Amino acid sequence: MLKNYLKTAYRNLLKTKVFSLLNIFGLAFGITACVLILHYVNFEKSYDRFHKDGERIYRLRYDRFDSEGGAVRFASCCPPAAPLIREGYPEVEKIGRMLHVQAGVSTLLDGREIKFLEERIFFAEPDVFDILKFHFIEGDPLIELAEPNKAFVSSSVARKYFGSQDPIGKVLSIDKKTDYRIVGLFEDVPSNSHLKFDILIPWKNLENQYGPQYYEEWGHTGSYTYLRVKPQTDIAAFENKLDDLVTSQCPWLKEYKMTIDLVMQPLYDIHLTSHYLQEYEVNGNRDNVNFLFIIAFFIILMAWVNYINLSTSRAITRAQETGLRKVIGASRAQLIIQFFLETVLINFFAILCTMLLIKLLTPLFSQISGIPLTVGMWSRAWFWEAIAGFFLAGVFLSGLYPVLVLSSFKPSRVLKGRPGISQRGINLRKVLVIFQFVISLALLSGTLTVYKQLSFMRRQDPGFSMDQTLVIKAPRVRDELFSEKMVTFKETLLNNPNIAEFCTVTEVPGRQIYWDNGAIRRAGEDISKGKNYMIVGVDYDFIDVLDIEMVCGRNFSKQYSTDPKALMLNETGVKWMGFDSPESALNQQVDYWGEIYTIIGVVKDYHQQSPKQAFEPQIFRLMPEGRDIRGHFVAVLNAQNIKESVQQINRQYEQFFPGNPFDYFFLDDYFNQQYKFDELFGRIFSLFAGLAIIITALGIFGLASFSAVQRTKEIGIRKVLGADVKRILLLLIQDFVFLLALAGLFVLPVLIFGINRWLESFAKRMDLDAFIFVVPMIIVLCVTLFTVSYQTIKSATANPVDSIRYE
Amino acid sequence: MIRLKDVEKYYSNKFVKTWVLRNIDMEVKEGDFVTIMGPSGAGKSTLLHILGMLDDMSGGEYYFLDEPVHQLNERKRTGFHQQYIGFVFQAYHLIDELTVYENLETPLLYKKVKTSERKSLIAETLDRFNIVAKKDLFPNQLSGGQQQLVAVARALIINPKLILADEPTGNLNSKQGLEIMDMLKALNDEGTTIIQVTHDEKKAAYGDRIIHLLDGYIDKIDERN
Repeated sequence: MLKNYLKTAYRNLLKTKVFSLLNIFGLAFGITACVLILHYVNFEKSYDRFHKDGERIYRLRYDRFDSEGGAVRFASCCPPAAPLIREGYPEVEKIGRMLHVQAGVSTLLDGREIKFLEERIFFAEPDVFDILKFHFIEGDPLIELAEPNKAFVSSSVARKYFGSQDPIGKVLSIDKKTDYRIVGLFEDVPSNSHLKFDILIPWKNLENQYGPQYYEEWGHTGSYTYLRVKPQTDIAAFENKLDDLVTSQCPWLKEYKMTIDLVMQPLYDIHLTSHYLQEYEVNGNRDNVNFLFIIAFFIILMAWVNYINLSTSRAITRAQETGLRKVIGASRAQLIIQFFLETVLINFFAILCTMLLIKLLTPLFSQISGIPLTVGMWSRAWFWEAIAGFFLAGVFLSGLYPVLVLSSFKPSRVLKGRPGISQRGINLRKVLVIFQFVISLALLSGTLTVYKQLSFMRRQDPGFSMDQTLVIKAPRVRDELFSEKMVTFKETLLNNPNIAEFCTVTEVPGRQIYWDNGAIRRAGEDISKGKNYMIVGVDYDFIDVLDIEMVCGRNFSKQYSTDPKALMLNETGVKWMGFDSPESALNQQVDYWGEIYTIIGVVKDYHQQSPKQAFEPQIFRLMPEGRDIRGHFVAVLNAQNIKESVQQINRQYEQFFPGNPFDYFFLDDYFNQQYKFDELFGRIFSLFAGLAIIITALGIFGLASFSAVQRTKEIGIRKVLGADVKRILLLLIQDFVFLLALAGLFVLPVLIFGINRWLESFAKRMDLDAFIFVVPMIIVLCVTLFTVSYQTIKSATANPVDSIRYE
Repeated sequence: MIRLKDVEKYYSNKFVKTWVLRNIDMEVKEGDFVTIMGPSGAGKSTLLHILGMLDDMSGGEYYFLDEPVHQLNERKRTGFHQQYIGFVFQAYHLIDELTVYENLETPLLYKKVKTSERKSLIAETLDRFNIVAKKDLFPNQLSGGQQQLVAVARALIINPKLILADEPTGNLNSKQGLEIMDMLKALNDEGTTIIQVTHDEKKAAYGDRIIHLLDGYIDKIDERN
């Protein structure tokens, strides 16, 4: 029996090759899109899930509010909180701190110096690794990190510095200031950890760097604090206790009319929801993840709807066989089994295709989505569950309706040549097609919106110039001759005809400024008026080198010996400080932590971050030598010989600042990488919009051929009465245009709502215009016309005699 | 074997009833060879479909081997097909995707006949209809007469008590037609009950009773013997 069914099914698939391929590929594309999205969603949701007891682990954050309720929210915390919590709060099992630094790291290997700039170094307390369970290969961090001058490195770092040699016992010098002996080795931190580090050094060494008062400073954020609470701890009650702790420890807050909140942030929430100041890395976005998940759902739904459409429209041709089988004794149950078997077969082939597609697409998708290839899908349980799920759901959801329709045909009618296709079935198919139109239109409009907004942002004048601008990390290893060296270094570079301009600055545009100071106010104002500002340390040339415009006043100048006590604000800063206009701010005095500065100029707002972010209040301070942390050199190159210029600068740099690794980037690349996530979103969106269009076209093809078959006789009669192909084409296309118009009406309000919602996250928004709604309509219309015409012309040019004789 | 009492059939469209059959009373005994005749639209095929349980009736009673068919559920009726009834149609109605062998096999599969018995039944039938050489061909590789031969063979393979034939020779040339009719006659002689629908007086003459239908009513019944 089974053999007979399979044989029929198989031969049927072969007989209607086009239909079978449409079916199989439609399903395969849908499932592939879905699995890829699931892969992405799963990866995003897998962040930090590998830690044991993760639901009891929290990161302690820090919020500061000024007297007017203005909030500054940090991902990090202040150093003195952790030891007090460790002592006085039994509900906390463990608590530990980490501080992220970048540094030049060097070592001697066989008499040769090896040095790199390391961007992922952490000072860490041992308890951190009791809380967060990373995989250590050698050495016990709980013991070793309790003592100073020891270091743990990752396997990759060990390989980078020491090749195949055993790293244990080797010495790393950090910024040529402190030597650390390597006592342990850990596996590279998984890519789905919100915290990523390459080198761990003891928290105790921090004291050497910042002095003991660092540990007592409640206003100083920057270190991350993790803690694990006992089971069943009431988090809200615990946070209230922390409020009391802050009040008792910081009596000065009253004077400033400020408050500090210590906030418990669940570990699992960090990656998808945390977007505060001083995040270790830019975190993901839960909205985007959920949104993609919904898209995945609709895509698979479309694929199934398609399958239903194609199979029921094919049912006409299958009706005769069905009726016949009934006549020769098939029961309904037997027919249902047979048709289900065909569905199983098609879904099976679709799954095979899916696997192949996924195999082929994985490298590309890894590139697009940024998920490392090492995070494979094939070995994951969810992957096989999803595949099995799609298969079973596909068989039942997409098979059920066609099977019921086919098996319910009345044999007597079928044999008379009138298959029982009811009007209800046709209406259902129309609804399904409208559904597909709606999804296609929505995805197309969405894609256009994302791209238009992106290009809108890129067209914005950033307010500074970034052409041929090379940025070099300023040397961290500095000796007492640094000031003189800086001057000569600059002169040497400017003497080089390849280098046009040079300056030094603490932060170049391209990311949020890391240096912020609170409690800054106009001189004479009450202490409670103090607010938070982003601080940029600049030299005399920064404004000119980056072509930043001044609104009024003047730039720092060597002609004024008073300038070290002067500062500049940006326009947003002027408003933030409460001045009515930039002009009125000039020559006013600012109380910056007890020192009085004079405002000498106002800088036009430029985009420190991508235009997605709002302008932030900035204070520019004069620092002709830059800073050793977060310092940058900026060199504008002449157009020719870029590569050679970089090499020349490299040589000079090494000569002037030995022991410092030469680490550089181009400003435009650096700035543009802020668009990475939105571009990724745009690419993913367009990929799936493309898939949706294909699936819709398949669906329309199915319905068009169905209605062409259905109306064969009508077309024949009309032709006999003298209608030409053109008129018949028009007749059939009308239906689809009507459905498309209906879909357009449905989708418009949803789109306007959705697009506005999405645009809310951008500070600078494009204007909505008809373009993003009309173009998708035209595209879908063209696809529809093309598909329908193909089918219709085929039946319209057929000999009418054949079709009329049919009855 | 078959008893119809006041059987009627209509299609209702909105509030208008279109009558196809009315007041049909008839009886068919085992071993009968009945012919149904009448002009186009008289209800011949519908009557045959009702007799074959392919179509529901709108009213009346139908007893098949004393079972009230009008009260049976679909499963029971499917059982009757498999057990007792074979169909032959004007358009040969073979399953295009299956070979001659597989076409013959299908009703046996539906009837859940055991493999060994199935094989011998098929072999026997192929032999009897002289189509052994054609067993691996698909229907579209056969001529019309050969296809109808296979269709008849398929109807007979379950050894039915009743054969329903709807213009079995309508699409055949006269020689092929005669062969098929002779075969039906021979089956009838062996005891199979046959009900056929035809336009053709000559073919009608094979039967021992002719029921004339006109506009859904039984117009008259000719008894031959």
